[in-house]
Amino acid sequence: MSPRPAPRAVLARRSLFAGAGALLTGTVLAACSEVAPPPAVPTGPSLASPTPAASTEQLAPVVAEISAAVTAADAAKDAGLLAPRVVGSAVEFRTRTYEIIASFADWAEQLASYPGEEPIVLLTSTATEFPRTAMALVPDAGPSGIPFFLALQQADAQSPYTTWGWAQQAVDVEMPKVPADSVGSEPVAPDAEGLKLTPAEALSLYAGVLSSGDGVDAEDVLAENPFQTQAHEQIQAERTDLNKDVERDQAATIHEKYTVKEGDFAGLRTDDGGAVVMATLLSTRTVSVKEGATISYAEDNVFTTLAGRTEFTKSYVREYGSVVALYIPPADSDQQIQPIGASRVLLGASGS
Amino acid sequence: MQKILAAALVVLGLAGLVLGRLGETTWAPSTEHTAVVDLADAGPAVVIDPGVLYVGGEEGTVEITAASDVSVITAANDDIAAYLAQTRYTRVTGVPSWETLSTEVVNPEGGTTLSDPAGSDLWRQVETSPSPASIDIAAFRQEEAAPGSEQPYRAILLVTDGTAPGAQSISITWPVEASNAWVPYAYAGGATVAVIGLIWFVLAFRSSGRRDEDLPPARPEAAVAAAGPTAAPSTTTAAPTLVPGRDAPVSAPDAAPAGEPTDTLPPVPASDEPHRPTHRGEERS
Repeated sequence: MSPRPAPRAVLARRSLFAGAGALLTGTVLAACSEVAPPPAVPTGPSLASPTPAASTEQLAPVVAEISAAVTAADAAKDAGLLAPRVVGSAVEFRTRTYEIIASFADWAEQLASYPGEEPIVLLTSTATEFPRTAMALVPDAGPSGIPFFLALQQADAQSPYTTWGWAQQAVDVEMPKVPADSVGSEPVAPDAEGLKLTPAEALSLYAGVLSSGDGVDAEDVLAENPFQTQAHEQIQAERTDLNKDVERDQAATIHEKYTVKEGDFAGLRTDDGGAVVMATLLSTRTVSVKEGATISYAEDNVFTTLAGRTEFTKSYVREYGSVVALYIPPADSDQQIQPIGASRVLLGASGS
Repeated sequence: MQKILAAALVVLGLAGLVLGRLGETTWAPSTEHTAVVDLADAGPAVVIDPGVLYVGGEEGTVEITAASDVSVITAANDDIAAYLAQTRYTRVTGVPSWETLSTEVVNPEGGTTLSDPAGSDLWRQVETSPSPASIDIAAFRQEEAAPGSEQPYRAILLVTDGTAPGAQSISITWPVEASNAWVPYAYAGGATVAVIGLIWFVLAFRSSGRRDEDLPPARPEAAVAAAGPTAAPSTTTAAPTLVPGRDAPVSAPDAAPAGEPTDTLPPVPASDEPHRPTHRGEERS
């Protein structure tokens, strides 16, 4: 029998082997561990403040396409070419103009001024709900040099931005300050609070003042504006003309009644908490001929051509559509409501 | 015996080094992860949820294949959802494993066509290119990460012509900085064990040399004498087991009980050398 080795040597040997074995096992086990699975999808930062629903880059091409559509439609006198960007009142008004031109060629000069391609100022909305609103101040594609306020609306997510109308900027009138297009502003509804008058009330007041004069505006909330001045001057001039050589209003009376057209509305907040709003006013200018009198025109003009007669014994009616833009100050301001733009279009004439 | 074990340790240590080397080369983990999904009947639009691109980090590539030109579109995430509210489409929602992407069908009863999907006024960026289209994840992230104005992660809308599926397959590849974690341990462990084994081997070698010198001079005679009478029987009986070229130690344990006198020493002058009988059996290695 072989002599037993000393216990200390055995212990040393065994612990050496144990250590080596443990080392190797550890490395093998580490090798067998799996690659970590992918983490959950990260959520990322959130927006600190609301941003415009449509950026300048999104709206600029819209404006350009609107201008191009009007150019093309005017060239062909075909209102069908206005779609899909130009809708509603804008299409109606343009269609009527083409019809008038068909019977009175000189009326074509009315087509000269319309919104150009490159926006000067964009008013973008921060609201993400539909329908979405935006406005643009665009130069005149024609020779006047006076820009237009263009109303833009996106009805729903699947529809494009469209315009229902544009109003040429009023000359010599102070313009409100609006937030930068990168910041955007809140849309304003016809019944919005916090303004001197709700937009609906302000538009009604304007229509009343245009119809019946400043007397309607008892509190003098509405400021003077070129459109109103011009309209009233025209009425007075025609009244004088109609009643030349006779006593006041003995031949005919003349009255233009304005109403706010339902459905056309765009409103955005300004920097000071007020609002810029746009809407359409329809008006009917009626010459009521007195019993026994006759109104006659020596030469044919557009109205007589449309009416089909130069003599009227009963009444003589002209219809107009006007797109207007108003600035409404905030409720606590001492500023007046200021009309800042208007464009009038002849829609038709008739009489008997 | 000790030398055998020491040598075994050296071999073990070397094996550890080899394993480490293999871990760096042949067994090295892949340098990229690619997650793929094949979309069958995806609907006219496919939306990659915000943040999915960044699951594996903010670098990599997305590749999209489709039957025709693909438009890669970004917009406000809610606008994309509003645009597709009535349409059946597929969302890529996450990365459940490094090889696959998870998807979800939205509005299964919805419409199956979109008219002019790349032309909506809602879109902020539209890039149309022939299939396969690719997106560089780092560049995509850069567009969101303008300093001072962090933007939320953007969803990506993929459409073709509004009737064909928005995409047929999407793969996202992320580069990976990976190495086997155990490689340094294998190297360290293997080197340590090999060195220990080597030291032990040297020590064992030197001790066995010392042992041989301490044995009494008569021992070789006894060994010869013992080997002599037993040589014949050992050659006749042990010859079949003796392998030429093998060391004598292989046969020694067998031969010892057979022929060599292990328990009696030849007479020696007792006063000169002390006995060391305890180690004798082992010293015969």
